[in-house]
Amino acid sequence: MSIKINYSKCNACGICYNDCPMDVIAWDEEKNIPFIKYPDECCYCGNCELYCPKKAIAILLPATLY
Amino acid sequence: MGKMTKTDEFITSDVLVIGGGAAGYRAAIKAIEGGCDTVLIEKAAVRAAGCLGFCCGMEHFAYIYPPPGTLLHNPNLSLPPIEEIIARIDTLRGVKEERMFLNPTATFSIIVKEGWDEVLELERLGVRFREDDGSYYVIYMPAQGTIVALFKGEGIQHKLATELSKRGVKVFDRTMAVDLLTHNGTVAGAVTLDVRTGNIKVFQSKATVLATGSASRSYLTDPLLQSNIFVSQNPPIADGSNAAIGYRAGAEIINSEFAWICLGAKSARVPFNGLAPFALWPSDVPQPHPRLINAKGEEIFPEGKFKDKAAGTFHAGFLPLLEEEEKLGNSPFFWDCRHLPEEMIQYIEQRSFAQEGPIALKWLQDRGIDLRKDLLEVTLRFFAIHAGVLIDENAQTSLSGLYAAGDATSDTGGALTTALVFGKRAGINAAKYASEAKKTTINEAQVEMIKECILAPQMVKNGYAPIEVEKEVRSVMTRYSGYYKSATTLNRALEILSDLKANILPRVSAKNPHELMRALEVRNIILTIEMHLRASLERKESRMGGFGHYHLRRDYPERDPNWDKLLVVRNEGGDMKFIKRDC
Repeated sequence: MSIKINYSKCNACGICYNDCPMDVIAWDEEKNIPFIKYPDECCYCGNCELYCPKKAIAILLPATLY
Repeated sequence: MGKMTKTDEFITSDVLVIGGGAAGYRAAIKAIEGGCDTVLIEKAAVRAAGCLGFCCGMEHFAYIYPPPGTLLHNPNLSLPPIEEIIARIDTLRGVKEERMFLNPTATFSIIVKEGWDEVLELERLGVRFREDDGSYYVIYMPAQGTIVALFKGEGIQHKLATELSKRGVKVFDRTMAVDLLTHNGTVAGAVTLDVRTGNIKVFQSKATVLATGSASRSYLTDPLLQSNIFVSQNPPIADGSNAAIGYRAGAEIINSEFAWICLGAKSARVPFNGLAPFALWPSDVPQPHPRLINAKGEEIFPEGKFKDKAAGTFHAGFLPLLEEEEKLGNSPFFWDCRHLPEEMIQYIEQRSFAQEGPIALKWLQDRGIDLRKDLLEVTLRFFAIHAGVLIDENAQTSLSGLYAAGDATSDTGGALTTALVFGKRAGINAAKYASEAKKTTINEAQVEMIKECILAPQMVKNGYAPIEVEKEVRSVMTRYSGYYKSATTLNRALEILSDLKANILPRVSAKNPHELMRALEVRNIILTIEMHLRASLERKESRMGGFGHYHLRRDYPERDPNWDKLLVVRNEGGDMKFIKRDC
């Protein structure tokens, strides 16, 4: 998976879920946390990683983008 | 009705703006200033909308003219009079004599005159244009006739989103415009899908502004890159709904035959536009600039020779030039910064890469690339189809009540400046129209037809995943109508496309609202590609220019002055009609 959420840092503020332009990040209502639902649709814009206030998201650029 | 969608809202406004990027933002602000009740809908979220939000970004503001007396970073920079700048751009970009850049609006004279006001507007919102000493970092490129102002654009789209709320624009995120509503040739609003809840809404408006960006999902961005089709240069949220929605409503569409091909870094996610003020825009005056070099280390555009080789147009001419180099065994190509002063390298890293796409900086670090000693490989890349809604100088389309701005109009040359200036014009004129117009009429039968279209993919069991179909459609496009095309390849592409349209599209299934959005996008993409293929067959000549506009027919390799005309496409009772028109 190209985007990783570090749940020990995540404060479930919802910024990544609200901002992801491609709707890759969904919300788990039961656990009340974001999760990566459509990793294949990530366009690597960087918004989630850039604006996460807890630095809980890391994008791993895939080898195909070498 | 399927499980997930239900219609529960009916929203009325004076002005409806579709798309929350730079153009849509500006239109909404001007509409509300014009005293109109204004609604803006955005398929993604306004905070991450358009080119600015996608981080393909912007750190330069092209085609502006700082008024005399403006404090410039380089106090020795002398700028010619504004009239000279406008004439120069028109000539170099081939707007006037050459007729390379086919657009009926006097775009450049308008944006050069009005662009600086937009700089001041953005400054008012807290976007930093000035250096620490209060000066503007302005670069003048005589060979381009262009004056560019650099700015620190990080988080700029957040500022725009805040401003929209502050001014009282009602914003609906995650709201996809499926189709426009029309009544007797007048646009009356739109039917939308909430891509997360699946709710269908009907927006009724007196005037509507289409600002949905370009047709960015028509090609495979990089034919070799199969892993993720949403990795692109232009925002991949822009599926071509500008041309598709406009066409279905009956608006006139132009430039659908032109591919938009530009130079980009080999890695598709390293944006390149932001390097433009530094790179590959050599000027008549000697100044240090990043060099485009071939594998032998020879500069491809040595200073001074630029004008003869590329006819003064920035992107146009790259394709044949690089092909020529390739034939000589000189490929691949690189961007070379190694000779630049440290100050400029830092400027590129900190400002250009950081704003243009922070992910690019990460990419450089991940790969251990240091611009001081390493080369960056570049390649030609498909940006989009140039198709856009035809507008006049007032940003009015051929339909009453419908305005358009930004990349949605094919008027893409001035990028951010064009989006803001024409967004402003669209907002002002939509507000003026709305305040004089009577209440529009909603055609209930049309609403039902659009709902059925939204419903269809939900009813398909065991069908195709939307993305699977999108991949195939875009690969057909790239294979048969890529850099070069001919009647035979275009006809073959149309044959496959009509098969896909008849037999595969109806079997696209959606299990949830997100997939439904993707399914409706495939419908837009197929229509945009069909317009491109049919228009390409009509234009029996080859032509390139403007901003990476390419229409290269193997069977008609020469430019034909009889085709110094716009090719307009219009939906006439379900038939795709083409009209050759003076511009």
